[in-house]
Amino acid sequence: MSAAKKIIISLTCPNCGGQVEAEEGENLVLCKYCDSAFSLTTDEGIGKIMYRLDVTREKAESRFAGWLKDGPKAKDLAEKAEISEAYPIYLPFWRLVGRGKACVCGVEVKKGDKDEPDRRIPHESLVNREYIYSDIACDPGDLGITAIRVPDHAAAVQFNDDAIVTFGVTESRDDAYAAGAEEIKRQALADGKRSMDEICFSKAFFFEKAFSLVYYPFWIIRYTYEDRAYFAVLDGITAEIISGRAPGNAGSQSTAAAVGGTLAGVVLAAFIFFGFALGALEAIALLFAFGVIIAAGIIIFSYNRFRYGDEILEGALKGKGLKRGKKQRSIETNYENTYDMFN
Amino acid sequence: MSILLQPLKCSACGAPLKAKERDRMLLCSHCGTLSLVTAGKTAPVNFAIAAPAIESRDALVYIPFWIVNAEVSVTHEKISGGGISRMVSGQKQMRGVRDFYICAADAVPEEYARVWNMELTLKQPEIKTVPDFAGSERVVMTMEQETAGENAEFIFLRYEAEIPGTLQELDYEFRVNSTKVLYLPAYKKSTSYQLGV
Ligand SMILES: [Zn+2]
Ligand SMILES: [Zn+2]
Repeated sequence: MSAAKKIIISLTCPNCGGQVEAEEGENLVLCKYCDSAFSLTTDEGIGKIMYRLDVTREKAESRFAGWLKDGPKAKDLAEKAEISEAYPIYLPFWRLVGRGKACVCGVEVKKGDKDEPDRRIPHESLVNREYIYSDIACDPGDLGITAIRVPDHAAAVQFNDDAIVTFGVTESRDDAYAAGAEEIKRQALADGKRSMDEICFSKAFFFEKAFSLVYYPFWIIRYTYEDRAYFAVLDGITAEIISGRAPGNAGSQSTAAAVGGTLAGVVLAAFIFFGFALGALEAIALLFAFGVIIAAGIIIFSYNRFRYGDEILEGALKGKGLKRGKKQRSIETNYENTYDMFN
Repeated sequence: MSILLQPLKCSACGAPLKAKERDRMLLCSHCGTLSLVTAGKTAPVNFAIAAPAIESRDALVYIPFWIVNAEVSVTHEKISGGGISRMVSGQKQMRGVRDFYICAADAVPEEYARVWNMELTLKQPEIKTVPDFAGSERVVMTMEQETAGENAEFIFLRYEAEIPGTLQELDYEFRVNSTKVLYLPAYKKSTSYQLGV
């Protein structure tokens, strides 16, 4: 989401009853009808923002159906998968927007050829950018969601937790703020470091623009395949697949195991053949030993691929399996109004 | 969760404050006092208005700056190259006590603000003050007081990095003595600004 777009909350003016609009993270609020100035406080000390669920059940299910066919998943997954439940859920995220400024000084070391000594090139940099940090504020269990990227067209609505399914906030506001500010400073320093191999001096600052608790919509689709339970999570605004579990293409994996086994045998045979060709007994023994080690490696690799690669994991999911999909980054950079210097 | 809107009151007379723009400096229509809005409350504020030193036919506006009086002491610095040009060009060192100028208005494009901040901090202009805005526009102040000190410290680091030579090592102390508001006159023509001091 670009920083230019502000999130708006609607309130009622206590003085004249007119509709007052407050911007995300702003504690000074004015009534445009009677000009009264107010400070905005919440009993939890933080603005809550909820985004409207834009994706319909039909759209979510059709996107999900497309995802079942995508990638090295079980070939008959689309036919045999049965949706057991599909429901929207709102997950809370801490969202911190602010400017990261950093000064980084250091040295780039270029390895010299053979006799030449290493070349040491001094660098200095200034970074001045706006960053957006987000971090999940609840324990999402096994859903594999860690951060959000709010699209520009997302519509903010006033928070109302009566009508929605959500998880309780588990991380404290102060801890979340501190973590976000640290992360933005860390990113500004990383952006300043660039080609430096050694850092001699660095200092970073964080200037807050907005801090809020954001409730973001998702579709959770739980399904079964051959009596085993799987799931997928879709972004409730863009319909993108955020995370999910799916059975892998077992056929191609057993092929991988078979090919691996055959390959191991071929390698071992080749080593023995070369050993005999060379003639010396020590050489035969040595090459045989080498061959066994390499063959064993190939078999273990193939076995692991077969044993653990029978699941496709999308999103920030832990566990064994073939990991796919986009990484969820906790930091976004807003490249408008960037004032950097690199020397 | 409940959201509460608490009326902001004049720091001098207690009258409810009214405003058309979201300014951190709110003017009381009852007694004429300017109050600073900080952390959801109003507080009395130390401020001054600088007299225009040049004339222009463009519209005169007053831009709020945070003036951070701070002392910089550098105990160790290593610069690679640029040493000679630094002396030849007579580059001033940003050391000791000085006023750091931090433009506090979002309405002023950053291209202007960052240049002014550096120039004014280096030049330390003589400021003659006037008692009031005399009907000229007072530009909305958006920057909160808490961030002024660190913004000033970054101006110091910016200076050290921008002057000739590549900064390599720096040990310093940046101590803020005081912070106040200064309105500087500027001439505005559509979206371009010319500073009037
Ligand atoms: Zn009103
Ligand atoms: Zn008053």
